[in-house]
Amino acid sequence: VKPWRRCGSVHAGGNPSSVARRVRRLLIRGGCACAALAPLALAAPQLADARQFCYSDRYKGYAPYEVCNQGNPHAITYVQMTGLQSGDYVCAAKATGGSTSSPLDGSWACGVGQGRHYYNGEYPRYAVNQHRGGSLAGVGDFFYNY
Amino acid sequence: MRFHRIRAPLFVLAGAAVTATVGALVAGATENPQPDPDARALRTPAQRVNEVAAEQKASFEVFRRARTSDDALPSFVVKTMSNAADQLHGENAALSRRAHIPGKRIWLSVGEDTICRFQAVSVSDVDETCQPTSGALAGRLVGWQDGGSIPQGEAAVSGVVPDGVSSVAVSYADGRTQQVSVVDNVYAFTATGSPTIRFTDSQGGEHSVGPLPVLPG
Repeated sequence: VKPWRRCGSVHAGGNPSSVARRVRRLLIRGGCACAALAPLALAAPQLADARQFCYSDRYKGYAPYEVCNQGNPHAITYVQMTGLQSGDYVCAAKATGGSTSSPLDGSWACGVGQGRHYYNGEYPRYAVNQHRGGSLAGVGDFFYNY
Repeated sequence: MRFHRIRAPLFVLAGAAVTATVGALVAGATENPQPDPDARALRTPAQRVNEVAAEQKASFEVFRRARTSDDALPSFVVKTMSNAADQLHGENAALSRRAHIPGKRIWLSVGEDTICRFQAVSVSDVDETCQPTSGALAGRLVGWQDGGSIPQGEAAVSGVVPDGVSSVAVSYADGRTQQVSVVDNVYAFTATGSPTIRFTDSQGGEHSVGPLPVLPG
């Protein structure tokens, strides 16, 4: 497994201050200005952490999927599957293992159209998202609460 | 709002304990903002709705009955949904109704011209799928679980249909069929293969969704 960087759709959520939230949303809307984030990361290290740990993967012949939050000490509270069209199939799963080669812990939960996958805030260590159409295009956004 | 996908090499010094298997990923930070041709507009978060719309009440009897404590979504879902900044479709946890299908934890709720289906995957996670009200009326509000402890080739499927639909017809590519009854506007069944679900609404309109891309056996 050779993870590669994918960012631009990782959101930091929760209940930060309004200023922090605006900054985060601006960063999100600005796409993945990874290089530009470097100085800001000092002010918002959690966001930098969150954005670092997403990459695509394949496992046991499944369609490509995206793994997020591995290595991030902060739990995901939900994965938001927006940016999809009403007929899209999209799935999410949770994982707690430390290995990228066996990331699934439990079943995939799939749906048609837009939605979210909520977690209880303590679990999982990371989440995976899969677009059953075979592409990761528009799969979704990852929100974090700290 | 379009969002852009950047695929750039990255150097990440992974934290020792958790990322041992990832190893030290490297990170270079090449900025290459290519618009994703398949990227789609993110929806502006909607205002939370405070009541079930008349059209939704008229078409889904589950929203016409009085709400009880049994209809409440799990608390961690309510907490997230209650954060106004996290509104997606304006869905309101306080309007949820549980579909009383034995052995299942499935709820419906409404948002801004939206109906959402929630299904507990485990005690610690809940899946939500939403459709415009028109999509729910047409039977496109459906979801499933597969993989994990579910036998390969099988899936736990559930979906939403409007009033007047007492059962749905499930079919598979190999010709197998089954009828699944509807309770509280929801049907649920175990699929063995990739199912197509069909029903006829109270006006005689025929609807189908599928075949759902269940993981193969």
